[in-house]
Parts: sequence; structure tokens; C-alpha cells
Amino acid sequence: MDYFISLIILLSTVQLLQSLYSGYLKLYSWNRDLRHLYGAPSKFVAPHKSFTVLLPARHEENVIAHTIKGIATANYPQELLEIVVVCRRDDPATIAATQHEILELKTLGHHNIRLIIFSDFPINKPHGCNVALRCTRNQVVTLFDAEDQIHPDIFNVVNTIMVREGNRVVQAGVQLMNFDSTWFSIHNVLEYFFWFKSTLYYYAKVGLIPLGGNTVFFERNLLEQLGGWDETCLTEDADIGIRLSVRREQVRVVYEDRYVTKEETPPTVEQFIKQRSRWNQGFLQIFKRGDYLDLPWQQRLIAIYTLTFPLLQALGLVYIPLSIYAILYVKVFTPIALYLCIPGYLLFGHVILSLIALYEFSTAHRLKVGPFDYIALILTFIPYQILLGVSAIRGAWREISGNTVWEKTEHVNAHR
Amino acid sequence: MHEKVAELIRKNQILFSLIAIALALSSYNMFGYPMFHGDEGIYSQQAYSVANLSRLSYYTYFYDHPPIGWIQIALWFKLTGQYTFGEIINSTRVLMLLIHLISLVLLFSIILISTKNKTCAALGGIIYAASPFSIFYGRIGLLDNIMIVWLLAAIYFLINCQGRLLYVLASGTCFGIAVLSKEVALPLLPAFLYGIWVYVPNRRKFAYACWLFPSLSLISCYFLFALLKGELFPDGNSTSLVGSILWQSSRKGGLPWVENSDFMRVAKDWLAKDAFLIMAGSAATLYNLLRHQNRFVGLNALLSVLTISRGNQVFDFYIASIYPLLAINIAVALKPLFSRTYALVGTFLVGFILAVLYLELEAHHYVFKADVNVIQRQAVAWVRNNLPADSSIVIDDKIWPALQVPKRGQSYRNAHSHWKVARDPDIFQDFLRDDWRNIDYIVADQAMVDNFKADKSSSFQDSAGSAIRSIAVEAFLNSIEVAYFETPNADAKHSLSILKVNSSGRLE
Repeated sequence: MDYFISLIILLSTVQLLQSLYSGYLKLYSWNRDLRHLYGAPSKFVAPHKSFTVLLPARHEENVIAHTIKGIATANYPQELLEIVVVCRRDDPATIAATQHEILELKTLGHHNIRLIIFSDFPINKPHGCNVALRCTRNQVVTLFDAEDQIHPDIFNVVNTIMVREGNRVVQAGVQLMNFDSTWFSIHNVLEYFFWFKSTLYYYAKVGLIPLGGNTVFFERNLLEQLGGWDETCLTEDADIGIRLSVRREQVRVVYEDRYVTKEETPPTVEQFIKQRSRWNQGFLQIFKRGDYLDLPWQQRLIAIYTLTFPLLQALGLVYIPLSIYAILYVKVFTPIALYLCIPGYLLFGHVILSLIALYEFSTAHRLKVGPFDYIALILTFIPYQILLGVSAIRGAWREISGNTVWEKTEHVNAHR
Repeated sequence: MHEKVAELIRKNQILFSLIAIALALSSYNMFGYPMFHGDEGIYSQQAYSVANLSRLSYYTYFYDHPPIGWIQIALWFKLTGQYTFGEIINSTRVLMLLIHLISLVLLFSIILISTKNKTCAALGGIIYAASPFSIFYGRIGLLDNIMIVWLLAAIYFLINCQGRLLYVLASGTCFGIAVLSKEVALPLLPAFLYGIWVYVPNRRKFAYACWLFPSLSLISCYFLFALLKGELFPDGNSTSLVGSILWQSSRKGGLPWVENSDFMRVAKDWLAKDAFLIMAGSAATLYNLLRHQNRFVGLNALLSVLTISRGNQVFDFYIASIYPLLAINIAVALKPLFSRTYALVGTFLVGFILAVLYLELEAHHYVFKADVNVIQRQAVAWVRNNLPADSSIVIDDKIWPALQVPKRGQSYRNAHSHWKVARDPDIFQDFLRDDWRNIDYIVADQAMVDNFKADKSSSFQDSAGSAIRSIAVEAFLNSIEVAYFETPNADAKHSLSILKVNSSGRLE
């Protein structure tokens, strides 16, 4: 029993530290006003940079037309904007939908959209992006997901930052919107809210940044020096971020609620678990590869924490029932029992943060959130943690068993 | 390194001068005056138990106060070695000195941030450091002194936050520790809710969460602790947190305006000790409450006064948690007089206040000379020379450390506080078997003798609410004085009697 208690104390300590640290990251941008560092410019300079937009799409016939139209009609000169939809030959539906939309936009005077079709392997997003990268020319390369709804001024924002501040990489905000689609959507939405509105600032400051999967802008020559995206990695976005950090490349994070790229949460629990286990597995792949070992010790520690976070989540799934059992049924010295309760307190603290974040999110995006949504958030908080834990275990298991097949997430246009 | 220290001192000359003054005033004769307090003995005993026995109290912990206060004393014991300064009660006093100096730094910083005026901050610091209250109560090992340093830290972090949530979080954490050090900090919570509103105008929701979460979580740990021990609610047999709260709130002392109420009595005592601080502090608090920019500090002082004015029992040392807040209020309220327009008035005022402080200290000059604790040392020496180690002795709490866990010499394991003899079944039932004849000696100061004679404090109530006379009182009524010790100083008169209980009964 002594071993059991020691184990529980150890797990509690890990959970406690992890919970405090993630709370700190969630609150980072609210801790003090960082708008002068990470805000968007209030006035735009004249369009100067030319952009290549990569739109990798697979089985996205339901959403791709909307997305293409949104980007094509952005407030940026056509001659400085090149839009490339990337599809694989075995996806005729998306190809047809894309071709149809391209023709339609041509009639409206948009001649800057192309479709690139590839037929080789592997079938995944980084491969599609690398194929398209070789066939394009503009100075700044960015990518969006097939369901993304961008802000019409996003290119002006990035152009102004790159011209004024000279940054070669810019990560702009992404936000899931459909908080009321499924029981877990609300948590997924708030995760993005905290990540892009707060946590990324911290990562940018310490010089270690796992980039997001879209609305990230690279200068072409930098991307080419890096050799494009890693096609064997399931989170090629985070991977490229780590590799940039190793090269001491300063990433400019810009977030303002109005400029975010809007996305949707996975439509089902199954899709969510698949998406999340892919991310978790991708992080573990990067961890195993060890590029971050070239970083100074502080960034290295943060990299290790970030990349092994899935393991901590998996541990959390095991920890909760064990600690409840220990508190209720195992006779321990009262201060120890009290200590075992601290992670529970911190979990409650995270619930409170989520409640406030939901209010902030709904206010920022003028969405109607009722008392029921707040109650639902509280009631589904623990189930969502379980969902994260299950995804983490699944991701770890896939990595251990060497299964690296890219599991695609479905999109149904719930955010529009 | 030396250059850095010199630079630090040069940059903060006023503060370091204040620290030097406070150090001199509060440390000189600190073991000689004032007399060791009963509560000081209790918390030293409990800290000793935490540090050495891993228990919250040598006796049954009955939730009289949250334990964090003496856990901090226990940490100090562990850190410094509990006998470094003599008996453990001396070590507690040294910690109080340190706490007093930290409180001074916080108080100075709070005033400086509030007024952005160094003269105000210096004036507040000197009012605090040179107040007779700092000598009468600041030296004593009271939970109030530990509480106030955390409360001042909570105020400091909040008014210095400039919208930074980590500072708000630190403020909430300090407030939680203040409440767990002594529960009287809790009624000040509304002042902080107001303070957050004022000092964090943006991101208020996050600010409230960041303040309330740590503070309430920490406070709730006290209840959780009782729950985990199965001692939250009274069950008639063991101690309980709720039972103790009910008991504490039943200790009535009369409303402040009632003649002979506790409040009236101690207020007279406070006025005799430091009339300036009480009068000017009260006036300044009322003035600050009317001014938006000073209302937070005003509210803190007001609520701390209201807390002790609610009609419950009031002890003179309760002022320890109030007078630093009054000092802040005086300094903050005087800020307008330290502008160029009123330079002359300001200078005159500083001179006047310094003169008042000097006169007050002069009136209490004996506190730097009189060694009133000599009688305790004499009594302990008498006990050692004349009584066998297994004697059953009823004592006051302040003498417990020197008899039970002395630095040197024989320890008297059967010496117990008269409170425990009256209330703790482990002592009066299991140890003394409910028979006053099992008590051999009583070591009593004048207050204890008066209580025994009045049959007051050593009586307790049974579950039906009727008074039961403590066996210590019975023993007292059947005793004769065998030794008497008195302080030589007429300004600080104290005495201790040793009484032999006239009984043939011996403990088996």
C-alpha cells in the first residue's frame, strides 16, 4: 500500500505542476496587455507582398467551393494573390467541385485560381502542400484548410506586419466557431480560444513555437531552405514550427478576434478522437526525432513538455479514478489526503477559466450563449477530459504499434 | 556583491532608515517586555508539536483557529533551530520581529504606491514602527501578527498589479493564507472585491477568478481537512470545526456602545497606549472612505474594526491586526498636505506627529528597561529546585514551553495548562481522573488567580449549557501559596504565585 500511496503522490505532483503550468499558459495573454506586441496593425500599408495560398483538399466537396470563394474575394489585389487547390486524383468529387467553382469565379473576373492534381504517395496534407509549393511562385506562402473561412483583410494584416516589422513567418489566429454542434464542441472551441489568444504568445516569447495547421505565412525562400513540410510527420505544422525555432527564426503571432480564420469542430466523437490521436501521435513523432535537442535548455524543456503533453493527458485519465479511490478508501495521513485533493481544486480552477473564456469568446464573436451552455460546459468538462485521455492513449498506442496512416477529419460546414 | 547592497541601500535610504528604527524599537528588550502571553505559549507549544511530533497540537486540536499560523512558526523553528534564541517562546518572538519588519516594508510600499509620495510613506512607516502597539503587541507571538503580514501582502499585490493577473493571483493567495493564519481576515473579503474592481478595470472577470480561486480554495482546505478527519460537524463526542465556530461565536462580549462591554474596556486600554493612532486612524479611515482613490484602504480598516465590534469577546491584542491598517489610512489621507501648496502645513504636521510619537514612547519608556519575564524564569527555577519531575502542575500556557520542552534541564511532562485541565478530556478525565486531589501544584499569574477566584474562565459548559466547575478551581480553593514572585518595576507590575494543593491524593 505504501508503494501505491507513493505512486499517487507522485502522480498528484505531476498533475499539480502540469495543471498550474497549463493554467499559466491559458492566462498568459490576459496577465497583462500584450496588444502592443501581438495586436494587428490598425492601419494597413499598401499591398507589397505577393501571396501563394495553398488549399489542400481531400473529400471536401461539401465545403471547398465556399472556401475558394472566400479567399478569392479577399481585399487584396488579384495580381498579388495566387490560389492553388491541391487534390489527389482519386478524389473526383472534390476535383469536380473545385473545377466548377474556378469556372464560376472566372466569369466574375478571378483568374488567379488553379487546381493541382497529384497521384503519388503518401496521401496526406504535407505531401499535397509540397507538390503545390514546387508549382507556385509568389513571395509568401500560406495554407488554409478546405473548410476555412478567412477574414477578407487577413492578407493586408500579414502584408503590413511583414513590410513593417520584417518578420519572415507570421502565425495568425484560428478559431473553431460551432460551439453548440455537439456536447464536446464547446470545449474544443475554448481550447482553440486559449491556444491562439494566449498560449501561442507565450511560445512566441520563449522562442519555441509549434505552429498551427493553417493561417500561417512563410516567406517562400525560408520554406524552401527548410525543404518544405515533413511528409512523414502527422503534425507537419508543429514540426515545421520546431524546426524554425531551432534556426532561431522569430515567429510573429498576431491575434485579433475579428481577423481569425473560422473553422469547425469535428462532427462526431469518433472524428474528434481520430483527429486528436493524429495530433498526439504527431507530437510524439517529433519528440522521438529530437530536433529540439539543439535548442537552449529552457526551450528544450518546454519542447519536451509540449511534445509529451499527450502522455500527461493519458496519465490524467489513469490518475483521476486512482486519486479518488485513494482519498476515499485508503487510510492516509490527513495532510497527504489534502495534498491529493489539490489537482481536483486546480481542475475546478480550469472549469472557472473555461466559463469566463466562453463569455469572452461569445462576446468577441457576438454569439448568443445562454445559461444552459454554461451548465453544459460544467457538466461535460470531465467527460471531455476523458475524451482527451482516450485520444492520448490511442495516439500513443498508434505510435508504439507503428501505425502512421493519416486519418482525415470530416468537415460539414457547421461553422458558417 | 557589496556594491549591489550599497546601491540598494542608497536607492532606498528612507526605507532602510525606517527598518533600522523599527529594528531598534522592536528588538530592544524584546525578551524582557512585554510579559509572555498565554496565546504566545499556546502557539509556541503547537508549533513545537508540528515541528517535532507531526501533530497540530500537543493536546487535542479543537479547531480554535486554523493551523497555518503556527505551522509557519513551526517552519521557523525548523529553519533556525528552535532553541537558537533560548526557550522556544523566544524563538517565536524573533519570528515576530522579522514579521514586523516585513510588515513595515509592505506598509511603506502600499503607501508609496497609493500616494506616490515618499514623505507620506515615511510618515506611515514611522507611525507604525514607533507606535506603542508595535511594542506592546507587535513583539508577542500572536496569530494576528502573522495574519497581518499576509494581509498587507495581499493589499500590496492588488494595488501594485497594474492589471497583471499574476499579481491578482498572488494577492488572492496571500489573502487565503492570511485567513488560514487567523480567521479574522475573512470579513475583509468585500474590501478586496471592491479593490479588484478598482485596480483591474480591464479583464475584470479573469481578475475576480484569479483572486477568488486561490483564496477560496485555500480557505476551503480548512473545511476539507476537518471533513477528511471526520471532524467537520459536531457529533457530541469529539471536537469539530463547526462546533468550534459555533462556540467561538457564542463568546459574547457585548456591543461596543454598551457600558462595560469588552470593546469599551479594550478601547480605553488602546487609547491609553496610543490615543493618536486610534483617533487619527479612525478619522483618516472615515475620510478615505469618502474618496474614491483611497476607499480600498479605508474599507480594509473599516471592516477590520467592524469585525471586532460585532459584540463577541474582544481581547486587547486584537488591535495588532488593525493598527497597521490605521497607520496606512493616516498616511494616505494626509497626502494632499504634502503638496507644494501646503508645504508649510505638511512640515508642521510631520513635526507634530513625530513629537506625539516621541511623547507616547516616552510615556511608556519602561518597555525598554523592565524585564517582566524575570518572574517566569524565577518561577521555573523554583519549580526545578523544589519539585520532582513527575509533579502534576496546573500552569498558564505561557510557562508551558519552559516547563514541558525546556532548552536545558528537566522537563515537567505533567505540567498542563489550566484551560486543558478545564476542557480537554484527555487531561481532566484520563490523566487527572476528574479529581482535583491529583493536582500537586499550581503556577498562576495574577489574571489566573483572579479567574480562579471569580470561578470564571476555568469553568466550562457541559453539553446542556450549564457551567461545570473545573477541577483546577477546586484545587486552587484547597491550596496554599508556597512561593511568590513580583516584578521590581512599578510601571510594569506583574506577579506569579506557586501554590501547593493541600491533598493527600497522588497520581498512580
